[in-house]
Amino acid sequence: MVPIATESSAAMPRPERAAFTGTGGEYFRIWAVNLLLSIATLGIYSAWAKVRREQYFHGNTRIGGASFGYHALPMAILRGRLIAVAALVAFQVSGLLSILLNWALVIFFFVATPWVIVRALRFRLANTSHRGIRFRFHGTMAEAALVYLGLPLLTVLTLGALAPFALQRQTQFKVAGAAFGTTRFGFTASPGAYYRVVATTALLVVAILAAGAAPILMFLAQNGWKPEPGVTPPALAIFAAVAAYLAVILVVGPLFQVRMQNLVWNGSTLGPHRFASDQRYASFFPLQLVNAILTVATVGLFRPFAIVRIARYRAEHLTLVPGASLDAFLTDAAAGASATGEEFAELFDFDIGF
Amino acid sequence: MAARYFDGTSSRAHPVGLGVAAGHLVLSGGGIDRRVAAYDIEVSEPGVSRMRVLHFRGGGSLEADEAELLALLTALGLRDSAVARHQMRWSMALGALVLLVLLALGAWAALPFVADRVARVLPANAIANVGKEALALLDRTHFDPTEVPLERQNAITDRLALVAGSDRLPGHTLLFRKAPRIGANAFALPSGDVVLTDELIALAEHDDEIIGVLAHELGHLDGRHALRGAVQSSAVAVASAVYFGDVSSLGAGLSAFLIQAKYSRDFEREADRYAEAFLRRHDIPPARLGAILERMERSAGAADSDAASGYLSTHPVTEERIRELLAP
Repeated sequence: MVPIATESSAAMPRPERAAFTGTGGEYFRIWAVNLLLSIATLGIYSAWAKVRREQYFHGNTRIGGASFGYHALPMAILRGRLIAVAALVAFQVSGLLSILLNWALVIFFFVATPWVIVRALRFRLANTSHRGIRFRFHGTMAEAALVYLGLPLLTVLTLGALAPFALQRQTQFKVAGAAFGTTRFGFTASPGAYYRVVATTALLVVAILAAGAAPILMFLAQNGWKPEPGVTPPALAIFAAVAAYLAVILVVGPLFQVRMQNLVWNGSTLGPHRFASDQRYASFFPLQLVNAILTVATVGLFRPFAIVRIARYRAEHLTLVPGASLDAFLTDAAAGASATGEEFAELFDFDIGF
Repeated sequence: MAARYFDGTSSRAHPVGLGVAAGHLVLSGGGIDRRVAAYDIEVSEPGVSRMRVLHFRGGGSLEADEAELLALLTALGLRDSAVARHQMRWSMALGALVLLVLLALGAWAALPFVADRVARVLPANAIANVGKEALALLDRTHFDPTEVPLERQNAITDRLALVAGSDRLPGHTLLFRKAPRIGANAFALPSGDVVLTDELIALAEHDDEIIGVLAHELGHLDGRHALRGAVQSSAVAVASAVYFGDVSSLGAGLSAFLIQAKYSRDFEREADRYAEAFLRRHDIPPARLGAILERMERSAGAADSDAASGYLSTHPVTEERIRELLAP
């Protein structure tokens, strides 16, 4: 009997859970030295600090047995930062000189936002590598304008009803525009799923705020809605309001983050491969609560430890589900990208990351 | 773990053996045979779970255990940078933090002086426009036209000019407004407009009390407090943002607010000292200002201005101010 020749089976590779190998202690040392040098050099060193930080986190994130690389050049980042600072200073000074000029700059920054976001994404992804292959970003400025200017404006006009839709479109823009070498990412999470997450979170927030505001509202009702000066609400009422505010941040915040991360990753694909995210509120909430308490208690010194704890949690709950061999990705030789966009984004606190 | 070579074209990992020959790193095994010159190698920094990544100019990279690589890298003359070597030592980190604290304390102490220098260099009307806008806004929202008769307004304006004599006062325009929702108060806007409320004039039992209040407001103008406050607050905002980054806007907002409150209190104290000097110079007892301050406090109904809330409010506790005014 002649053995039937079968294709030497590259059996479907098994799912690979990501891992984070960094420690709080290690990062604390990097963080402390970064902070001192950045401040002592009035921020010039911050570009090198950022590269150091990103290389630490990229290098300690592993999946399928390989780590990630970050290749941005500090000088490029420094250039971008100087431009961003100049813009910030111009904005502040214009505010002192003329309200009109101030508003003109506001409009200019608003319109420039899609440009900033596209360049930031291109820069960040082109400078990230895995197994020797760089990532890419192919989203266009037209799409960016639509999802970062058009949709938010519509959202305001519809009093927020379009917000989850806008969010879904923005994430889709970021994910579906990304590529690992020549392989494009895909995004399948639906607007409906976003509405579910936002709606349940919003209901929870409203419920908590209502509970917290109830004592103060009762006080106002008892005093005819316009209290005499000098008549203050009882301390308990103020406490309830403050507690509600904190509860929203500390309790509902992590819930939203967990559900969003799961939604985004579970809806992301890379060619034939998928991702699976199994973060759970039951395990993430205590982690974040401890982070918050310890960070405040140590006047911020715990922050590097907190960041590492979060990175480790997120990595450990992320799985790559291969649909083919992981050796088959190919590089995409495209031109490099400059840094200006990313630094604008960082200074004005845009969330560029996944 | 064996060293793994990525050729930069596909994502496949090739296990390779490593060696050194004539200033080159040699990779061999599994169909790979490559030599890379030392100057074409970029080494990743220490501190990443005892793994190192070498990036080769022209493409390709290598991931290997740090232990395995170090001997080879030394043979090739590749060393870690000074910062990379030192930053992982605990002594450096702790030393860095101590220095940071010292720097922060120094900056806190120096910020008023720096803001002062900057404010004196900026043109006086740099934020005059802001003052005009603020006045327009107040006129729309809180101020009504004054009901103080014109002769009384002129009497007050003339009295100030008379008392001041040959003093060089900061450029100012006295304005009168009725402010039922604010009550007895006075404002010095960066445009030079000094606003007196009808309620304040009614509360005063002696014209010199009004002069005292005006002197205090002139103190704000003389010290360019609005301008200095603006310069200081942007520095504080930037510093807070850098340190707290994106963690809890709560923390950043709260700290910025507390620091701001302190600077405003310093300005109020400066204005009080200016007023005291002015009053003494023209033989008016500072107690006049103290008296009207006390009456303003009582009329505002803040019966329990206790110490705790004193730090958080932007005006130093009135009792404290009155005591400082009465001190010889």
